[in-house]
Amino acid sequence: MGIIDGFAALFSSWQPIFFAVLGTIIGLVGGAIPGLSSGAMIALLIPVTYYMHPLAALALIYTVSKSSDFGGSIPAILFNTPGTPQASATQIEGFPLTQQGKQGKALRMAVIASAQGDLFSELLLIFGAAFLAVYAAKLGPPEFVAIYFCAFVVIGGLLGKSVLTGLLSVVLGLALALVGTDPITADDRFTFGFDHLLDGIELVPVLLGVFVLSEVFTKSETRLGTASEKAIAGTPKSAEDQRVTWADYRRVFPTLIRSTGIGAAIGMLPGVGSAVACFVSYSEAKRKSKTPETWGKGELEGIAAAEASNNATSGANLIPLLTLGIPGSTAAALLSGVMLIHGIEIGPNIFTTSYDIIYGVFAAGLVCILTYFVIGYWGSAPIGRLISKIPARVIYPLIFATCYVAVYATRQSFFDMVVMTVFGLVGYLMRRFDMSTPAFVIAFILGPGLERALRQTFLLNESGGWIFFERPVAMAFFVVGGFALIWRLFGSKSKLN
Amino acid sequence: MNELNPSLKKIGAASLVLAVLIPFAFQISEIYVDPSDPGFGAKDVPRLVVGLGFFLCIMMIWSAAKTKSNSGLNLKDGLRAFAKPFCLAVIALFYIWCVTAFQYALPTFVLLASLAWYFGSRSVRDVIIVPAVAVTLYYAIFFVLLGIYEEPGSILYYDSYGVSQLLRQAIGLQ
Repeated sequence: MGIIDGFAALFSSWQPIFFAVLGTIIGLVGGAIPGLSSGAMIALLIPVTYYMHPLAALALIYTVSKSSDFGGSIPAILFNTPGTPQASATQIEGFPLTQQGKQGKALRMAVIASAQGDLFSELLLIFGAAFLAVYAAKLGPPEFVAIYFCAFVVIGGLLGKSVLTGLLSVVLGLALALVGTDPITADDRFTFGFDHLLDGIELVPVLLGVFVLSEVFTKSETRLGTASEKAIAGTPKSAEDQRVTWADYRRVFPTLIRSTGIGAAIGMLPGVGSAVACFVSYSEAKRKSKTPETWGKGELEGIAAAEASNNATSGANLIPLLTLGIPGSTAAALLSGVMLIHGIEIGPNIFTTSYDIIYGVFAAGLVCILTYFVIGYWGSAPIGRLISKIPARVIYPLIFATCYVAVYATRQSFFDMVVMTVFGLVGYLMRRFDMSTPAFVIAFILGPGLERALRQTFLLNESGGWIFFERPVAMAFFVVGGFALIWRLFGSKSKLN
Repeated sequence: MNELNPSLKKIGAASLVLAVLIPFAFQISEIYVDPSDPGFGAKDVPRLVVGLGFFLCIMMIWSAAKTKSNSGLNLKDGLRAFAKPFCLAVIALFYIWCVTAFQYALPTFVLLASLAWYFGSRSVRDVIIVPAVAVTLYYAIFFVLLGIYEEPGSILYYDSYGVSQLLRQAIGLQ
């Protein structure tokens, strides 16, 4: 059975299990730092993974992304400052509980809901992805062209503030992915005389520039105070205010189940992130509540809804990556970057070509859930107090310098440092112009795959473009992509009206 | 962060993409095409991407022209807001040059100290001690533990690689 082999691989040496636990702790603490996104945190760690075994590298990155989803709820509950955007719904109910002196109860409900949602999502990934991959492996280049088209339209349409800015971000990513050598003739193109660009633009400087450096550039516009505010916690009235009782758990259980389902379903869709899932679940739980008047004033059910769905996306959003090779979120895009760096083939064949590694990553995910549950249940409050003492004005210079040392570490190339600076500015401008940096990076990663699939389709078939009409699966993806585009266009038009 | 005027955002997004696509459009004609290559040739995917990009940029500019909103920063204030990040980028490029000239430790310490000052730190702890500890930590992680080679500086040269190798031997990594 795959997952047992995965555990065997994870415990085969000290490295994978050590980095899985370390990643969980880094994600938990980093996610709790307001202003430091999980994408930025993961991108910063990618250069370090160059020197690791592929399983240790993937375990580190995967566990950071998982535990940071929960980590973001700590400052949301304690300081009314969400550490990550997806913790905003938790903040609505969590902070009032802190003001009532029930911060322990709020934090513990957050960790219980997160772990439960995450566990379901991970099991769905473990048992569902391999099953779907068997079918995905039968798809040929025309189907992949259609899948890429569908993914770009959906990701561009949903991740941008408007369809146009989202699609422009995708086109920018695709254009820059063309730099390097032609995949079939091996002739150079768009290198503008730079020999360093013959292999294309390196992924690590792009990731660090767009996700991390651009964040520092954005912060440089304003002077920074402390990273977070002091908690305005009330005094606990009884021991029960600091823990989740059986009665509390029984009351929120139906919400937990429903929100986990919503989160997992939304997580499987490319481009729809956990921030959407937690607000959908929160609204749905509030709508179903018998006491909607208590919401917004410290309703435990609200925390359970937001956190369960938020974490239920984390495993599920790897399903499109592992079955179709389409990273549907920032975390999945960064994980696919690490896979590319370590020569791991992304897509349905991953379950045969990298069997031990992929099930090892799943096992790391389960270890991560257990680790952040234990640390989060007993240690969230001290972590929160520690974070509140670190001022942002100290954090950002350190992040800035770490980017340069880390990017130099990957290839010992000063050119990469310059490339990262340029992409830092590009990322900053994209943020200012409401373009989508995740859509840009996903297109940049998938661009070569699209070109290869498109040209293989035309090389292998004499009927030209008609081949797409002869393949029902390809047509289905084109139709889904087309409908998604029309739906989003009409949706934004009616919103404007 | 002050938001830009909505139409300026759209023009900015289109300009950013055009800044990449225009040089690309001129380069497409130089791509070698194998005469026996059927179907989608070497030039066709770049043409498709650049053509789609131009179309979307035109749509964006058209949409900007139709947007009627006076909210947000105008062009002058917007450019003023961009000045700080661009200065930081110039500092970053100067830092890269300094690393090639003076190796890693000294420029990184100066960069960290000046950035801490720039971001509003004034205490000795934040401006001196934290940068010194960070430089030491970077050295320990990247050069000692990961064994990365540090190139000699063109102006100031010291054998930090040799030191890191000695430390690696001392802790049993080599």
